[in-house]
Amino acid sequence: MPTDSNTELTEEALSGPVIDRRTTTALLGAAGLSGLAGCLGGGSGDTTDTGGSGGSSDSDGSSGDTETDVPAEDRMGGTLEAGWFTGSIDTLDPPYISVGQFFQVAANVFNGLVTLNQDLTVRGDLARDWEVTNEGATITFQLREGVTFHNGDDFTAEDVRYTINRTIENETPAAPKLSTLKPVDEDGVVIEDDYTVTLNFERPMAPALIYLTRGPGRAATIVSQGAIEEMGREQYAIEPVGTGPFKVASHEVGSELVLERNEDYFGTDEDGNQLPYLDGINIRPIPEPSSIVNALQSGDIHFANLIPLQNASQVESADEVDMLQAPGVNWYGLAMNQDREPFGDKQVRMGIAKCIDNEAFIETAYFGNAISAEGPINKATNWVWRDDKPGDQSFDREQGMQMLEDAGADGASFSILTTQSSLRQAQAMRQQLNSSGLNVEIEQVTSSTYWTRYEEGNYDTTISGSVGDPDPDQSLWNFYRKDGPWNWVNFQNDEAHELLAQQRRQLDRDERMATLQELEDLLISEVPHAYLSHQDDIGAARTEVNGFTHIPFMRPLETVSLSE
Amino acid sequence: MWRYIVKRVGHALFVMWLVATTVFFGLRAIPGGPVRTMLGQEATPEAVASLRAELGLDRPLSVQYLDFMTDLFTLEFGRSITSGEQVGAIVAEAAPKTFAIAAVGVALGLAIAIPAGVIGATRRNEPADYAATIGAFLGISMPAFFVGILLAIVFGVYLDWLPIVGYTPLSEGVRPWFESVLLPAIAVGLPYAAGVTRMMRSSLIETLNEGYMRTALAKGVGSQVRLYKHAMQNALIPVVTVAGIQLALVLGGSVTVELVFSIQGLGRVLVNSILERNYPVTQIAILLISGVFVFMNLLVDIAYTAIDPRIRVGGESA
Repeated sequence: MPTDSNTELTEEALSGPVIDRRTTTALLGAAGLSGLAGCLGGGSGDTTDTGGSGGSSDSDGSSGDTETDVPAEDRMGGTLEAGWFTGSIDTLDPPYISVGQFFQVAANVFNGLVTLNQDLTVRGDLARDWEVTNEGATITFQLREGVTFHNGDDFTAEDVRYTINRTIENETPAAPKLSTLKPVDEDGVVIEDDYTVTLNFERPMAPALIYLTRGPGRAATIVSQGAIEEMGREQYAIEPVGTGPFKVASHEVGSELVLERNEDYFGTDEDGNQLPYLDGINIRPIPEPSSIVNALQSGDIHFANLIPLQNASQVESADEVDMLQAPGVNWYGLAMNQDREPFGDKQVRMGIAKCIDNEAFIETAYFGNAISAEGPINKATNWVWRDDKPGDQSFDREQGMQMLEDAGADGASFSILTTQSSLRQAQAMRQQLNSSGLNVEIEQVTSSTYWTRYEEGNYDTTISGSVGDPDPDQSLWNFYRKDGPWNWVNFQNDEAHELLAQQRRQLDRDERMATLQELEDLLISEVPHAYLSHQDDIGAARTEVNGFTHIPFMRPLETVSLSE
Repeated sequence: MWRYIVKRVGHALFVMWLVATTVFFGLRAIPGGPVRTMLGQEATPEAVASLRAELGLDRPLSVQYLDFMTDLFTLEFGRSITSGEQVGAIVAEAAPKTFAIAAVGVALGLAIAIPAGVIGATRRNEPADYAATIGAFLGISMPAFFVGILLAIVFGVYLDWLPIVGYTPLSEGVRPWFESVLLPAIAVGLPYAAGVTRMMRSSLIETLNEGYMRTALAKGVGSQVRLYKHAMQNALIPVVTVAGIQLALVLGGSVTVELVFSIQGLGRVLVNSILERNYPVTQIAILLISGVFVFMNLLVDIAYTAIDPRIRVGGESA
């Protein structure tokens, strides 16, 4: 279930600081000003939600169900034992990370130029403030002074240039996020002075700041040149050096990652106390669903970053364990390969979409821990979310079956490609489709086979989507442009292609919102995917864990403390 | 005797080569590759191609095979494709955990199995025998991971006596180490004990019926000496065989038990690396595990010659 506080918070936070500075405006501005506000307030509040003076009201609204407030005197250190629901944390080198759970860790070790608030707006991180000029194609960042890396090196504008250049030059997985940046040597990154740096893009890039956040952004999560050169890329990926609240003390991949408090961290809480509160964190990868839940109940771990949905009810009913639940920044849909018959026909796709009862699917596939998706834009990005999306794809089995019959595709036979981990969703989907007279089979493969086949278009249908969209651009751009790298359903639509380009140019958030919503309407009616669900983001913590702020998709632990 | 051992070692080496080759080609025959798994959905086709080239996966298979063989002989195991760690280091970190679980498991298993088998054989069809047999059947029927989950829930969650996550190295103290391996060891040890118990019981029953046992009784040998000297020594031969072969059960059980207790041992390393198509790690992990097998069987073969000289003679003529 989405939390109400998030909804209220978003409205307030977004409309607050947009008053002046029309050039920086809306999308970029909300963040820009609140980052500044925190700073003017005496350097406090930057690392929790921006608060204090300056008219930003983020922190007031943020204490929702997922955050526990404790009096300052009760905040104590201690070592948090954390379980991560994965086999091993293979890489912590930000631009190389392609797994959400890995950057949930990395975001506790590193900082970006900016970072996300609980409502998915942007605030300063290593950048104190920034200014957007040149109609949105240029961003100039004022950097924090006096920040050091965990190895003692000073952080300066040169590190920004090094980081961005490395992301692009090494062709890292995060490089496409900077594809619109001018070449680094040709004014892409300009060092004005030690603490001022300018990024120049080829053309206005409205969601640029999102891609510079730590965590999901990670294209410009600041890495240490000194450390990389000293230890080599392989070792750096395992025991990286950043500027973040925690530093890596040791890392035995697959067994345990030991994080220690960064004594020199720049972040403070709203009372000016230095963060983080914890002395350290021991992170153990625990990939077995029942094991991670047992470990929480037995107290072997205090915190689990993810709870497998089938175990959510077990956690909910457990004593001394609280669920941490936030609306997910994701969407899932049934991808139908338009290169294969009968999915080239829009009427068939729409017919199939209408035959799927999203609510029943969610009940079966996710044990109810998701909300129904009418379109791809998720509720966590509240500024562009609508409760009244067009209902073209809404469940109406009779009409859906009629459409299939009209298109000559009633009783069609095809398969759903799936991996072990999403087998349950595939089974729930088969049940839905076969109840509508289709003849659907499940084809289960291992995940490496899955990706190869999906990419090569060697499948009929599959349940796919995006696991993390702090901005809708992130997945829509990749899925639905004609040459998009994830356009594996082969969706070729000029209008969608054009709208995607247009929304990137629109700095005014209201205009951009209108374009994105127009795009979403188009996607709903063209059915490149039959939209299914937004899965909740669920973790869990024992009751002695306090102060966790649940930013969707993120696991920031700097404000966490333990009580007896 | 030495010729016999040399011959056995030669066999063992040949088997290892066969394993290495089969694994090499078998792994590459299954669909999917490591690169897309590693880079994730976001990577561009160019990035995928460049990483394939960097890892040498775009070269002909025969070239890769020759490289692999050369590397094996020079003990150069390469790096993990996903984490970039030295494969040697990964395996060296993982192996002691698996071996600790297996060793404690086998020790526990034998400590249960031998007495239980003897009781079963000497008090045949008495309540103690029935108890041992039923226990053995339960042990055989329950896979190790299931026993593991039960143990974790009972001793971890409800009683809170023992840790159920992770492995504490021996260097941090014997007690913490033993506590961290005890539950996994019981989980792999019980099914092992079950198999050995049944073998011990039936083998001893058979031996007790042999003519020479009646002779021993007739010439007035005491019951303890009869049992432990005359009967046991002969009854143990098939038990040793089974105990050796059943090690497969312990190592196999260890794979799933490591998952249950979140211990990064060989089994978990192996499972993850296969799923990720992390070829270098899979190859070395399989070679190590099969090496242990081959070595244990070699030891069993050699142990026969100590227990029963007839086998040594037979082996030489064969």
